[in-house]
Amino acid sequence: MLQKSNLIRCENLAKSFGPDTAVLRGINLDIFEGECVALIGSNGAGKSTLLKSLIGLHPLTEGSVVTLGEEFNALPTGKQRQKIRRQIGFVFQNHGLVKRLTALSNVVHGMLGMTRGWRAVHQAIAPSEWREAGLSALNAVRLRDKAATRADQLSGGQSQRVAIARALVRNPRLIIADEPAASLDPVAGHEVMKQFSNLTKDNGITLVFTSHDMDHAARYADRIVALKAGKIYFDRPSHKVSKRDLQNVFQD
Amino acid sequence: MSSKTDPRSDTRIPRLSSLSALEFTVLIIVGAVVIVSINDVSPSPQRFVEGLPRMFKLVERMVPPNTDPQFLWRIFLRLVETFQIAIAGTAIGIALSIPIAWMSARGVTPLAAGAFVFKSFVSFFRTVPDLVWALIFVASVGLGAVAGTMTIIVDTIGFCGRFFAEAMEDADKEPQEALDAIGAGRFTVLCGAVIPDAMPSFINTGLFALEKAVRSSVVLGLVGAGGIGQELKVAFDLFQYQNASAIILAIFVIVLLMEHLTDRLRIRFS
Ligand SMILES: Nc1ncnc2c1ncn2[C@@H]1O[C@H](COP(=O)(O)OP(=O)(O)O)[C@@H](O)[C@H]1O
Ligand SMILES: [Mg+2]
Repeated sequence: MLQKSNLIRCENLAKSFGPDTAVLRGINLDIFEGECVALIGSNGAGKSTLLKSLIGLHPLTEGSVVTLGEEFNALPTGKQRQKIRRQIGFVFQNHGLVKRLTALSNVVHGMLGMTRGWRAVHQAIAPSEWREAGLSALNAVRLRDKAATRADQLSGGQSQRVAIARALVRNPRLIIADEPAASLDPVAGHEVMKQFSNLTKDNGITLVFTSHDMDHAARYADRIVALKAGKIYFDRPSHKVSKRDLQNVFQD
Repeated sequence: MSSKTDPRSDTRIPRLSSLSALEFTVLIIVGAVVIVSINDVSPSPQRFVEGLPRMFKLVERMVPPNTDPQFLWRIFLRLVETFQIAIAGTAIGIALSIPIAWMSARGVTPLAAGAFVFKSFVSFFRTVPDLVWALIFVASVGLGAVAGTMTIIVDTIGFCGRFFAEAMEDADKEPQEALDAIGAGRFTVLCGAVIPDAMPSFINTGLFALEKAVRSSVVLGLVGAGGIGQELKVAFDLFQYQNASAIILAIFVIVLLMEHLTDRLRIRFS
């Protein structure tokens, strides 16, 4: 029945952090290869929690998630989890850069988890292919000239783009990005989103990103999944989502 | 503001906050212990007055300090040895402290439950005083600088092991989570995210350890663990007070220089 292969399948996923505080309930979601999916919802809707569930960063309360053919909750060892995670790029909401290292070192970190990944801990000891890959990833986000700048000297938009370059450099099958434009002003936000969606399209990378900006979702995603109070409110191709639908997502 | 309050109303506020019976008892006991201790072991005025002339006599016999070139050369060689003990001990101690701190740092350690074993070792190293370690090592490896260096190593692990672990625990969590999310192992997260973030604190702690090591390596010789302290002990044992004063001056200069140097380095690296 499926023409394209299925990278992620959530079945009846539920997550709560304590008794009677369900953050996510009854989530059924499929992500197919080559898609660009936006996950939208207001603050506290559970977007970040859902993204972290996709790569097993916290245990599920109910249901299952199968990512790249493996079910995280059924994987006992860290090694097996690592094997799946190394095919995925993850961009955190607060970027998660190492502040005292240069942009290039941070991008080369994207190679950690690969075979002999320890050489990616710092650009100075990285193999030259990895340094080159790091520089071309920085080039792709137009930050090549900031390669030697320390992360704590970068602006919010630059730091966001370094985080994106770190995800791109490993040439993953899938990138999951949490609010990749949230900390940016509108102009920089659009620029980053445009670069990001073009780069993933050009390299055949599946992209799942969250946003609380309806404009970003409508413009850059092929498909929009709306979360409201921990449940899926709708899940449709973006050309079938009206302005009205979007407004309803953000209304109580 | 307080125009309506009667100025005498403050008399209703007790000058002393009232004590509970337990607090009062504890206070009395503490007071008694202090008085008894002073009575037992501190110099009585009489003893002090009697000792004073002898102290002056000692100082008199100390001046002028011995400036015989041959003697000064021997002292210089001993000072070099003292420094070597401090530097070698600190360097090896810091190198060993990093893995030990990693094993014992909460949230960073690759061991789940075993971390406390390493924490306890570090506490044990820290709480036993350096002269006691020196006695133990002199008894086991014999007199000389090697015992001194081993003492400094243990002392440095006790100090750096603790503060390195605290710096690792305080390191920014977000990059660690980000690297974990892309499949990095514990060791690469340590090298890629934790250590770079904790580096300023490591350097600061390391410089303090060096300063501490110079100070302790000076006295280690008193129990036979090498360095300048050994000469000082000989000088006192043989009543060569002019030698002793020269050695004390040399120690004073060297410790002062060291403090100045580490202060400069701290400013340079912070
Ligand atoms: N680690 C956690 N412990 C307890 N509650 C959490 C935790 N993470 C998220 N939550 C709660 O889950 C809800 C959804 O959070 P989140 O997934 O971050 O929402 P969003 O990303 O859509 O803004 C919030 O109410 C938040 O307080
Ligand atoms: Mg969020």
